Amino acid sequence: METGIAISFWILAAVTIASALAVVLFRNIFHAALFLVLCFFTIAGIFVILSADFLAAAQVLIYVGAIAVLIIFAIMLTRETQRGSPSGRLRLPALMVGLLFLATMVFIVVSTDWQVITEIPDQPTTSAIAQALFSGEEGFVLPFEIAAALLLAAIIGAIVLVRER
Amino acid sequence: MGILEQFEQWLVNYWPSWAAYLVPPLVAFAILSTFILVVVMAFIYIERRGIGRFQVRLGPNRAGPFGVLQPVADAIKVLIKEDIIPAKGDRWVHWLAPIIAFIPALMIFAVIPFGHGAIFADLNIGILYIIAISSLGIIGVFMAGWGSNNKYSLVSAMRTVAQMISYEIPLVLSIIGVLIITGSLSMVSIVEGQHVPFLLLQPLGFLIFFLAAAAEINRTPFDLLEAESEIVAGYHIEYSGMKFGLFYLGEYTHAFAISAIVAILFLGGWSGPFLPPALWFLIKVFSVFIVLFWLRSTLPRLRVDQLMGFAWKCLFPLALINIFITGIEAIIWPNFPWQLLILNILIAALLIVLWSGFFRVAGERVSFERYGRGIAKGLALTFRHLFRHPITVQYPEQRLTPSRRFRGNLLVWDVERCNGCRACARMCPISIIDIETARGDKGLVVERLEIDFGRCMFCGLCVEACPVEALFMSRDYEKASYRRELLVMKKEQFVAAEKRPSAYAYPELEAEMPPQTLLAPPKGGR
Repeated sequence: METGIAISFWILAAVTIASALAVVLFRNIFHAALFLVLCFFTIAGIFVILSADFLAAAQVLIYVGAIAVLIIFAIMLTRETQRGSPSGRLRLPALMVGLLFLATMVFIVVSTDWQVITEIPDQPTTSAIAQALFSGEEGFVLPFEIAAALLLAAIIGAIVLVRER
Repeated sequence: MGILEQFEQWLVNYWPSWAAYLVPPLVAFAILSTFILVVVMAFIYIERRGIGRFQVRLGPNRAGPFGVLQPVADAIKVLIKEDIIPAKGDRWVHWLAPIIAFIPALMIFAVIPFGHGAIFADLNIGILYIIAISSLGIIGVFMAGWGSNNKYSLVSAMRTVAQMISYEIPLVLSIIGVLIITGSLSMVSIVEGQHVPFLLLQPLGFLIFFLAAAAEINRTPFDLLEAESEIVAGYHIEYSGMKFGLFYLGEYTHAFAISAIVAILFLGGWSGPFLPPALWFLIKVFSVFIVLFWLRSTLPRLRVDQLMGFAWKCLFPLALINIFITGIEAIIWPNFPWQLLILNILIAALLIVLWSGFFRVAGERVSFERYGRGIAKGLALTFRHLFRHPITVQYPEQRLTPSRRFRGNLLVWDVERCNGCRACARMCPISIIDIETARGDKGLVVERLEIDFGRCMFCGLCVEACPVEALFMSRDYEKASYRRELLVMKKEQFVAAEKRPSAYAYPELEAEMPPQTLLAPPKGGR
């Protein structure tokens, strides 16, 4: 069991990183989007290894089923995007932002005190997640509702923007 | 305990533990995939024959008895066909697309219980897993549309995305009513929690799920992505051979999966009296599938804007209302007594009738009288066709009986009656009758008679002209040849030809013949 999980973790990790690199390095943007799908999918696999089955399903449903599909849809609707990046004006600022983000992430990974839990993870996780999200005192009801209101506002805004006058 | 765990524990006694851990899933996977392929073949056969009967046709009936070997013949044909990749297509994407479209459909079966413990993996998040996995199939369709480098494929892929994204929302929301009642996402506990089939407790949820699922697997009222009359065959225009076969297989595997999910969520899964559980399950799955292609053979295809409008303006709000009502009921009656089904069916009927009143089709408000009864009438008509004799016949073995006044394709020449007057040859407007006579003992004798049926237009003027009724049209209705000269009939052939009775020359025979019989069974029956 233990070695099986370790083997599958390393395979998943390798595929995740390889596909993430492919997303950035591929010239053909449609291929890059497909590798993004693979990357999202392997991350769901890592969730499964961590016994977070609900999160894994949500990852596939939202990232692969919705977000990646929307990205591909956008690529299909855009002309002349098959060959690399369309303009080079924002290359330098993009590089700066990228480096800054990388530095932040590396700092977080290095400075965090990673703990290894010893207790058996909750099984099923669905009700535990629901408790954490929706219970009154220590839950996250308010952020959840705010996120919902924000999304609604965004949807209405999008409709207003594209509406024919 | 499931069958898989029992198998594993038995295997531990004989094999090392890692083998005992690995082998049962592999064996189960092999059995499951074989079973799925067999069921899918049965589905393809039943659908093609069934749609034939719904449309008063025979359906495929040549390969094997009743055509049961048709799917096998199709599979062999698909396997040996040439595999073509478009020259400017995206090679790898084109190659991967059918696999990515097919595998998710297969993966759904991991959490489908076929009976007590007969399940590959009883995940806690069963139904969520199914929804997540089935959203992967879109990417395969997408890749096919893109990789083919074909405008129609791309249009089809765009339609697919729009349709899938739209219908996934009511699909997911309609399940929530069921989840509120059972309080679990696991497929096994959903089946065990159904004392009354949820079809009755959640009629609205069932309808929404059924319609959204039909759209998700692209069955006909919603099969815009391969609308033959508009975009040829949609995303798989450029596919041939086994790659097309995978798409085809994936479509039916998905249909099987959706039928199984409907049976589990709303029809009580494997539970049922008297019969073994697995049999009950299969009966339910097949009934759902039959209803799916009954709809397919009855309803016309929707337009793109109607399709989107139906998802967003009709199914989506109704699904939200359904969640709201079920939530209220969960607070008032936490145990969901079976009496609730009366209330729920009433609410569902009322909501559907009222909500449809908001819409206009072709400037006219959608009314129950017109559309509700119209759809019901259409379904009843196609259902009645099941019990009707097919209009088509098993051609060379069975022939249609032509009508009394039918004039066939060939002329029959009566040697005894003919007096060699050559009136027919003179009357023929295109001069194809070539006749030579000589003086004999009792008058003129025909020495040579040639009629070119390759040019004959069957005007019948020769028959009209014959003063002694020696020439008339036969009742044959087929005539074909690979060479034109074979269509010229000579005197010897006329003499040797079977003298079929013709109504034209023998009125007393005409009275005995059946009237126009295109719709009735031919003589001798089937």
